[in-house]
Amino acid sequence: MVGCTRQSDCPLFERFVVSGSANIWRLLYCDKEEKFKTCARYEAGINGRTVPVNLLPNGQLLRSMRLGADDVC
Amino acid sequence: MFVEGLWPWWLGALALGATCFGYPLLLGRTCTVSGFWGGVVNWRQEREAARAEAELAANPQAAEEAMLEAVMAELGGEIPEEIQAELEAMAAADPELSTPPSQSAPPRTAGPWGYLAFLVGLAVGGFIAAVARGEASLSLTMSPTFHAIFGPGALLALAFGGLLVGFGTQMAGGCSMGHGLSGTSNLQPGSLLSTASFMGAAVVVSMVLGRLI
Repeated sequence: MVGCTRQSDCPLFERFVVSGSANIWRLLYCDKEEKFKTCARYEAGINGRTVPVNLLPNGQLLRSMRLGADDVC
Repeated sequence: MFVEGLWPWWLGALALGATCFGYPLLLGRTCTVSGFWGGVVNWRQEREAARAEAELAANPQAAEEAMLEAVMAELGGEIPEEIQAELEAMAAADPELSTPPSQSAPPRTAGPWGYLAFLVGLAVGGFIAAVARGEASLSLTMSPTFHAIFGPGALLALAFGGLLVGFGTQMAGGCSMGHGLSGTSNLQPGSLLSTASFMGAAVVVSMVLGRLI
């Protein structure tokens, strides 16, 4: 199976690999030859743009990663 | 073989190679001057990316829950049977896949201040080297050869050349350092093509300009 060529450089892919629940993202994008090129992270990366760690493959920014107002860093 | 006052060529090459090789290892990102300038120019995006990475490191469990929520939204709330089957196969092959990470990967984005520090360091390092060689001086002219070629339009040619370099590096997603050193050392196809292109263009232009002297 030909997967995304940028897997080794993708911090989100590292999380997909070790996270059982988020592996769905990997199955939807990273491991599919016809899909990884539609990944927003892949497209940003090959165009030399900064790839935010919270940019999901579908282009959505994972804003819910933000800590809540009452959370302490 | 060795130019007085300069490092031996092999020592300079080793230093550059170590920088371009070590930077991705430490920070997980290509070392590229044009990319760092882009990071400084787009400092808001870089700051947001650095903040997101810090939050990911601080709360990986929340990140995983958020990713799961987002993918379920993408799937319309239901995991297709084929995806479910693949997940089960993956879990069976590696049971640790179902275990959330206890630690997040270290932050990879230097942030705009980090990039600016690198760029300032470049200039400072060059200045220090010039002082060490006893050749530090302020000059507002280019070489006699450059002026011989472009005459009174030398400054305009310089500005136009800089414009082309800036435009080209952003279009190519890298420069002689990002593509020429970092990318080619990792045998990245895009970097190999980009480096061959701009080096080839430089050779051709040099040959043309050489005939004008």
